[in-house]
Amino acid sequence: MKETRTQMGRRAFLIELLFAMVAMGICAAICLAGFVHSDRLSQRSYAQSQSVVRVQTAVEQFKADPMAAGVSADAKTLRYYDSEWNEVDAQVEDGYRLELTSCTEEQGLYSALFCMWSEEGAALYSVETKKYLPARAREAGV
Amino acid sequence: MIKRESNTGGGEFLFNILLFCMFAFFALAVLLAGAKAYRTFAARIDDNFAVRTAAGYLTNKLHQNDAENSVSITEFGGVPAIALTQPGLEDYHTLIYCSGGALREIFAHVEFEMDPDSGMEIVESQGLEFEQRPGGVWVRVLDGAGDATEFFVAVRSDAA
Repeated sequence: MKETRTQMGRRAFLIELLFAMVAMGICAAICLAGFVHSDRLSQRSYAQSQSVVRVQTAVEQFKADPMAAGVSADAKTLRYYDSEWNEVDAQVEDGYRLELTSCTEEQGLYSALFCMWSEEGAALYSVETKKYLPARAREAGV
Repeated sequence: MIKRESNTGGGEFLFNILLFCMFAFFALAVLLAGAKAYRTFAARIDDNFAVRTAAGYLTNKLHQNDAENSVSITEFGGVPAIALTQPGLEDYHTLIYCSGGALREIFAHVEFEMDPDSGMEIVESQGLEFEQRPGGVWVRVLDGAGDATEFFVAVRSDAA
């Protein structure tokens, strides 16, 4: 049984279309994986940017009143945030946590380390800050 | 014989069309997914830019002018504003406020009546609020999309 020219043409077209579908599938899989990766990067970048603003606020508050932070080598959670960066009372799923990792004082020089953590335990941003308070200011509680 | 060949051809044609439709559908789906991903990234970049620019700008301005009686919270054109004056140049002030959908700055004589929209545009913003707190100023910024970000700026001179 010999195939007619038309039948051969149809079969070739079908194979071509199938190849195109397979190639399309591979490209789509690569593209989608790329999109997912980019989305994760973008989310992380957004979270880091928000962390910088929140940690900066904590640093500014520390500079305004270093004694309020309380000298301690133990980590202390200052604030919790939800996934949309709204302040909440306790840790929530996909949320973040602002921590005062340590606060020390030596001859009036207060040093504090602030860190923003994600729920998975990844440090998003941390910064160390120092503020000198003269003895007179310390006694006056300023 | 001729009839059977014609039937098979019709089935193949339909299958080819179906396959082509699937191809077109998936191609379009990938394209739309890409467009959506791009829109999301662009929106996040815009948000980051608006928040970081406003926070960095205000913090630097307040720290730069942190001298006795140099920082005060006031009103300009019916909106809250921060007034910054430099020692020795008390007749002039720099006002930072939000008007016409943007964070603006204007430097003018204290007695001049200015149009709020004539200020220099810094970054897109829907609103700006200030509140005096012990040790500094609490700032609330609404970005272009209307999302609020709050931050605190320490003012050592404590004159706000």
